Amino acid sequence: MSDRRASATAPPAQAPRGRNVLAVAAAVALVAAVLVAALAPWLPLPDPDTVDTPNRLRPPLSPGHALGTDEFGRDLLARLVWGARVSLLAGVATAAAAMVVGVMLGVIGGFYTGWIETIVMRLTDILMAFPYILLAIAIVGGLGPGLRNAMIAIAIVGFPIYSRLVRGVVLSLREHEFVEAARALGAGDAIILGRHILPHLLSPVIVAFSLDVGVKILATAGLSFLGLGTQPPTADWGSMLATGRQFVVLSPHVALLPGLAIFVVVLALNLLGDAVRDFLDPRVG
Amino acid sequence: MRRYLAGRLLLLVPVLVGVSIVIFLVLHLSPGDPAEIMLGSQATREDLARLRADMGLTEPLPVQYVHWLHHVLRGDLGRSLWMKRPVLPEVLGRLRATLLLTGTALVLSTVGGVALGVASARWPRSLLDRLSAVAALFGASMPSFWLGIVLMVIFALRLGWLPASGMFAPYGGGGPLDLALHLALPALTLAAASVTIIARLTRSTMLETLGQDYVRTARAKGVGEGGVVLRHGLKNALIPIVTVVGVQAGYLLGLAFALINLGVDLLYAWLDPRIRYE
Amino acid sequence: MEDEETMRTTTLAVLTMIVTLGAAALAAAQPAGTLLVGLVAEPVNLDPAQVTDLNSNRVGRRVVETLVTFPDESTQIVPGLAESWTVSRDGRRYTFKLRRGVAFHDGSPFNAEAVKFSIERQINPEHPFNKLGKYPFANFFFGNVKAVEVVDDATVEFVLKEPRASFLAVLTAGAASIVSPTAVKKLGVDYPSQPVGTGPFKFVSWERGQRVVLEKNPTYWRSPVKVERVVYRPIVEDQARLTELLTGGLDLIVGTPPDSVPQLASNPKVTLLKQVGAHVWYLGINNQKKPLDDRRVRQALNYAVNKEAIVRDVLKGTGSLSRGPVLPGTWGAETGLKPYPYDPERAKKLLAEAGYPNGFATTMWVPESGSGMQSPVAMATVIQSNLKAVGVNVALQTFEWGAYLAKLRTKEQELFALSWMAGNEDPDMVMFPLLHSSQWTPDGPNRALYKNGAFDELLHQARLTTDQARRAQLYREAQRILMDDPPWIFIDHEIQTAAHARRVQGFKLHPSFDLRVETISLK
Repeated sequence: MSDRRASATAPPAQAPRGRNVLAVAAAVALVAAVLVAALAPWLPLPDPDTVDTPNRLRPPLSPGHALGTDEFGRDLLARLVWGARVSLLAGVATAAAAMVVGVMLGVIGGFYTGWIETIVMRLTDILMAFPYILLAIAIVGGLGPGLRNAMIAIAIVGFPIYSRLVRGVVLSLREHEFVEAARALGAGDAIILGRHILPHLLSPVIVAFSLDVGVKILATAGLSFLGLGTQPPTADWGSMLATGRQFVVLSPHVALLPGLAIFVVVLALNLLGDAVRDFLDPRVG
Repeated sequence: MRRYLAGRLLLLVPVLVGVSIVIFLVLHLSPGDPAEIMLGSQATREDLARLRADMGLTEPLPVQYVHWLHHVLRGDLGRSLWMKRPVLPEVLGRLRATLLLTGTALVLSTVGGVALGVASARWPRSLLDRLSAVAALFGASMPSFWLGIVLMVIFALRLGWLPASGMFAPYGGGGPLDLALHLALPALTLAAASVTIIARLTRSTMLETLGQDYVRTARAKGVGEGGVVLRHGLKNALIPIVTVVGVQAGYLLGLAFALINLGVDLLYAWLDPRIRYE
Repeated sequence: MEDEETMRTTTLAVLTMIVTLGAAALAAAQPAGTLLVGLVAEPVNLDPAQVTDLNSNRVGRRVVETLVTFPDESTQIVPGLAESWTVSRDGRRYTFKLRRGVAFHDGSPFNAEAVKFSIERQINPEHPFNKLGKYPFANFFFGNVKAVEVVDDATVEFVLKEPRASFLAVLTAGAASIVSPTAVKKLGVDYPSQPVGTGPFKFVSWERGQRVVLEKNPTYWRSPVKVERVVYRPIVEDQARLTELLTGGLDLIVGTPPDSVPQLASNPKVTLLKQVGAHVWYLGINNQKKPLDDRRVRQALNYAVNKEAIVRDVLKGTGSLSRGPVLPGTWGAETGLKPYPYDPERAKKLLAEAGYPNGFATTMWVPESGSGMQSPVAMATVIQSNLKAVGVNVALQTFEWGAYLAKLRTKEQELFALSWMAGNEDPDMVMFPLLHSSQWTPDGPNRALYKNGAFDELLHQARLTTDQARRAQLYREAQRILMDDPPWIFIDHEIQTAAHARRVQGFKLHPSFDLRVETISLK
């Protein structure tokens, strides 16, 4: 039986130690971000919503404002910390929900032929035929505005990407020798899916997921702009980045800092995803 | 295969009907009232009521839908609300620019992304690989509207090399050169985000296939490294890449999606002959 | 980042080559006599009777003209297509002597028939061309018009249902423009995309999303037009419009974002112009809802908001403080009034007197953008913060413009941001619709649901007399009432900004927000 685990000793070489260090660093960064977000009310920070227009657009390292101020003179550090609460939740939860639903539908659409595939994949086609944000707006329009509904909408709109991605891989795997061999040995669908198909999906799905978190944070901001997500003065990274673009020339830090925050989270998720994949599937470098 | 194709094309009909129903619901559920926008803040309630009646917005939604479908089936997409001009030519007029820009961006991102991904997979954990990983994540956390402004400030405002907006020079332009100049910044901006995604996907899928038995066999049989990477690695890695490029193309082109997805599925079969459609 | 860098470097190498080759093409982009104007958006329609947005009007009004108009620097009414006029003693008949020898761009003559046609197509549902468009001002401006009568070829008479002293000001509006009946009949539904009038410029072409081209009317009756051609380019992104101006792709831009004003003011390549406009931005208060129905509470809110900070820091000087709906400098403006000073202590005291020593909670609705709304969300954010400082906790809710206007008809609003610029040149045209109790939403624009008997009576009296001095006296008294019993939090009047390249000569911004490029000559 040509199971993939049989080739565990194949080159390329095992993940080096540096890799683990990176993964640990990523985990620490993520835990730190979550902790900071959770503890925001107890941290010694200025109020994130207090407007102080004479002190607007101060650069980082200004007295009293370690990271400077935004266009209303609000403390950027405080806004980043409070914004983490909204953005981490919005980004990770929506991407995860979209991923779970999308992967399930993709596996079903790829593994089973016939009417199930037809229905699942044509539904995906319909959903994907729309500009992302338009569909999200309509869903929020139906559910009513608010962060929670905005997140639901973004998760719904986001799943077809995963199902398309997964289905393509499953279509190809379905016909591989090891699947046929397993089936010949009497393995049921559940075992074939769990043991032979899902592990192969990890790497593309993890790449897509970690990149998707950033996209979702920005999508939430897009809905907030239309009054359908968070409302001012609530800080969230996506909205901070979006409004900061007006000051790109004169005060780039206003947009760069939230961009950097999103970047760090996405990077950490990606590194962690790589580590998880290595752990589950030692063969891939 | 031919039967599959025919079946899929036939299935386009329910897909399109589904799409059109969703569009109707979207428009109905979206916040925003066309009558309010068109008449402005001084409008009276009667003004609004009259306009809504004129536009047929007072009828129940299913009735509106049937009316619309009836027109569409006769090739009439209706007239725009503001100008009362036929919609179809208006859409086609803008389609050329859209196709040109998104097509260029798609080519740039696919070629660039695959090349980078292949290089990263060929030399994993090299400097190039690491840097491309960081760039990919950076691209994913930086919205294109932001990158667009930054590129514009650098290349149009500071350096003065490229125009900041428009499709042709405002007066007297019009040649292919003029077009290329105007295309450069927006196409690069649009391409930047997808380049990174395609590069990362190419890399991870290629690494996976390069580790498989048949690739080792090929290596053992003395197939050159370049041949292994391209023939075996890349061709297999193309499945997720084709999906993602299809997804990107779909976003760029919206409604043509169902057709693009069909094309993607056909490409799957070509890339991996084991995939069969019945 | 190396990979993107590499790619960009390669691309750049190729581009540099193209640029070198294409330098000639770029340099040729500034032909003599062609004025390039940047718009904030694509016009929706070029028939001023069919649109409510400034952006479309700024282009459309180059092609068509009105019977009466404003000179280039003020909003005093002067003759336009009408040479002179008389008003009947009872204020119900306005008779206009039309300018002779004026022709539309299509060669057909301008006459009394054309005036009748232009107005009646909007107000008469039976008119054969009524269904070709929607006329948003038909009721608001012309609802009081009973008939338009042709006396002879060069004389036309408007008969009103009730006397309305502000009627001349109505006739300066874009909606009162005179269109070529021949062209409307010939073009039908296509007329709004290729308008024909008597104005300084003729319509040439409109490529969607790219440009609208007008060329000079060589036989313009008023004065020779000095530029050959105007090309309007819609560029939505602020920074792109700015960049185009600084790199020669545009000669003139309007609606510069406040934060770019300092950048432009210090740039030697461009000239920055400012002009206070006939506009008012206010934070409406629902005068019927508790606790906002208490005059002391509304006064307190006015004291609590730091308008100076909004104008200075958020608007970067592109607004002047407001002391009421009427723009200072307009005839009939009460000059003795001062804007409410920023005085949070006084606000707290008034709130305590009204029975709210610890403040209260309320909601504020704000559109994310909208015609004349300046920077609504930013301004509302500052107001919210100011109110919080005196104990008034405001929950902000933003809306898309169309949804916002619909929401305001529900009467559920508490605080809401809005602006007005339809006809501020006559105090009646801003105070009556916005604050007279007969104009309550959802039927009229009084969305603050303001009702003050003495104020209502003054406005009513002022409509009945055509004696401008008497009217001014009544309006001044009305404004004193508004200061004491404020319907809104008064914020600002917009100061319009425009920036143009050095080669543009003789341009002035107009207080009515019109963009009169016909005054320009190019160096």
